[in-house]
Amino acid sequence: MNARFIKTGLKAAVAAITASIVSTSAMAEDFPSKPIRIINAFAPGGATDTAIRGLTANADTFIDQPIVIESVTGGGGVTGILKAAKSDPDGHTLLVADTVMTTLPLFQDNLPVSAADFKPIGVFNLRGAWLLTRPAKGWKTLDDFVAAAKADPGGMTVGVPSLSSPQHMAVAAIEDTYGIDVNIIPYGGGAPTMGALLGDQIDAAMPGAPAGLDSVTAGDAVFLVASTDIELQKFEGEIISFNDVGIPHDLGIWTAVWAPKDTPDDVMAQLGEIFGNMATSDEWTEFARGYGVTPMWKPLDEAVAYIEKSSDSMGKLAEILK
Amino acid sequence: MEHLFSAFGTVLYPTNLALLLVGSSLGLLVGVLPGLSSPMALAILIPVTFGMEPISAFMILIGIFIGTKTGGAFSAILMRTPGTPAAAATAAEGYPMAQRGEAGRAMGLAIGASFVGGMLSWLITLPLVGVIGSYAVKISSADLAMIGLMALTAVAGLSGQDLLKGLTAACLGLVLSTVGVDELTGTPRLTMGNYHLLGGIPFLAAIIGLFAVATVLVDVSGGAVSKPSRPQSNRFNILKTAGELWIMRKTLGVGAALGALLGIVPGVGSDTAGWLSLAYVRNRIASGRIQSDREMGSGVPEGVAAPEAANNAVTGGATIPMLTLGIPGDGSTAIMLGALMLYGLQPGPLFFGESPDVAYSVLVALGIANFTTLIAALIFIRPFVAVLRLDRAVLLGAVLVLALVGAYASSNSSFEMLIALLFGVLGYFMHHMGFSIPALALGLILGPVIESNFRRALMISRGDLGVFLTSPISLICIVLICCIALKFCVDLARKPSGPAKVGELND
Repeated sequence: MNARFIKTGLKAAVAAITASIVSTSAMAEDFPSKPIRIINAFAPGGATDTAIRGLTANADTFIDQPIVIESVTGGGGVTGILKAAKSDPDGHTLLVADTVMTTLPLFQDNLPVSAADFKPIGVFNLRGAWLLTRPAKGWKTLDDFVAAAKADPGGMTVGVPSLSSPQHMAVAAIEDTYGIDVNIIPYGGGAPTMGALLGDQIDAAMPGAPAGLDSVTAGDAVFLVASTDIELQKFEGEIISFNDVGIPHDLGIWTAVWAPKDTPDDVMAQLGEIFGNMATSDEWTEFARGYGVTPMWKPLDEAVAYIEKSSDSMGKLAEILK
Repeated sequence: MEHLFSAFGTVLYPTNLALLLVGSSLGLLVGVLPGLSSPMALAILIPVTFGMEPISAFMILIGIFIGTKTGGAFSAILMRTPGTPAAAATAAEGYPMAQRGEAGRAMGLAIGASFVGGMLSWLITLPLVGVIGSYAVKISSADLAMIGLMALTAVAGLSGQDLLKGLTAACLGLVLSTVGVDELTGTPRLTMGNYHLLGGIPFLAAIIGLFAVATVLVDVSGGAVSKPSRPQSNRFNILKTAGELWIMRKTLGVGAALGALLGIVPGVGSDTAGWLSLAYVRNRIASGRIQSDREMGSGVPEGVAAPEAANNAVTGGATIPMLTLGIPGDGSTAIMLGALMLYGLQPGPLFFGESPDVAYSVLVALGIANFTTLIAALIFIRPFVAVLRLDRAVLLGAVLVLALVGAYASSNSSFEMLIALLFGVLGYFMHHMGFSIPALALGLILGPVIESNFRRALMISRGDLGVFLTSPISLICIVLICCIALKFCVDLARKPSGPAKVGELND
């Protein structure tokens, strides 16, 4: 064989090897190769919508492709969740959803989809339910509330934003721990619940913080207890949580981003990194604290553990509710 | 006070004013196209406005909000398909006017009435900003239930020919509204195991079906209404229109008051206001208080002006509680609430104190937007009217496509397209059998308001029905319902019962 042939052959071999190395890493770096859609199964303008839009506001600092929030409502959330579950597990279609992923199956049978159809990319914020009442009632602590409830079994009205929600379960947790019986009134969301409280139609309300924060700051509502250890930047008092008063349930309302369960691990890792960057950025942290949620970041496996723990405690409370 | 003045300065600043005009034009377009709705447009535009200053962003959003209320009338008058649910009542008299060759006059009235309604509502609610909030929350569940029931009874009963059929349609609407997971017990009702129905019948899709798709089906089947019989006079004289509106000022006033009041009541809003004011006009014509040489259903101008004034007046009532309490009155204000939060602002009791520049600017923009919408409408009236000259087949096809796309786009789900089609077929049959479609639609809208609040009121009072009599608003509504029921009985006793008139879609 002549030298030129060998030389060409070697060059070709080197080129081929280099090309394959480059192209494999280029394939991994190719993600995302088109815009990332995040499906929100609930109405635009709501808590989940605000949270995910706030989180992804500075996405262009971290990836080239845009992130698009797509609202797919209907079926009480099931339509959107199902659509996300059925989409291509290539990391370009994701779901944003909060604790509803764990509570929905607890109360509805025969759902075509559940949290098991997804893998969490990460949990990125935490809110809590908090018990509020009116100053005119004269209750300053949870004990005052409990005493009043004992004096009027089944009479005291406590509004919750919706049935079977963490807020509802939080009220059930209080009832269970102290052996009281209150009249739980479901409303269609946090805003009507606060409206009813401010209109003195109910004795107390348990919305999801930060709903009602402004009323508390303005002195129109009094804070009694929160269902988990939350930080509320604008709240001037001390947050007393279930832990502090000895209620053995920790109920946080967390929000997470999910990917369909068959998404390959390397894509999951990249998604974890991208969202991790956004969730730990100053912009998100400031924004979140500014409107009253607690920013956090628990990626991948940590998220799985966190969510399981949360769903266990909610499962227990669901039994009590039923 | 100085905040208010500086807010005027901010809003009237050329760039912001231009943005308001852009928003109004967009809103007009969204309003005209059946299937595109205000909440949808707002939701789509929020990311677009992200990079802007909050005040500038809201110029566009408020412009759209007000613009859609006027735009809906155009397609209601020209094509009998309301572009937005709020304009459905306008089609009842607006389309017959167009058929008589008075499309221009009708549109002029609609534009003018919308302006008047919006401005009146703004002027009334502006000084009451602080007060409205605290009154809005005092509306109890019992009150809400009775307000809803009264509105439904009024519209179902006063909706024209056959009383019994109107009430039946309303009841059917109520039954359909129960589909879904019950808000108060968590039990799925009438979902037939289909998860799509867990959230209830998608309301916008149903409305699109009942009003847009059904119209197409009826027209295609050669229903009573087909080609306009006279050449269209699409121009209108602004002064003449203003004169007409002045003559109708009492009707306009009542329409605006109804709208502003209903806007404050969450959930009831613009869709109801239009129908209620149309019912008022009907009543007035029947009793001779309004002079008209025409019968209802053949193009009574007040029947265009009153609903348009009412549905624009709702904006003031719906936005104030959103700003002062953080409680939105309808879908559009809910999205605006979300947008405010995205900007790091917190609507609520502290909003005006903490962010006076944005808060007052939004308030002022609500009023100025009436002007920009008026201007935009006058500019765009010609091109919109040119649409009427298109071949009817093309028009109907476009309406159908737009309607179905709209049904899909609002939720990105094809189930809603199916609902739109199904309700379109239902609407077709209802039309031919003489059942009132608006009564059904209102039953669908008001069902949850009436039922959930009724039961909630009883939950709070632990089963005591007296709660409906002790609250003043509730009591007034019950009295009104009794009056209306009495009127029904009197009417039934008087009229000979005969076959209902076939061929009138919206009555």
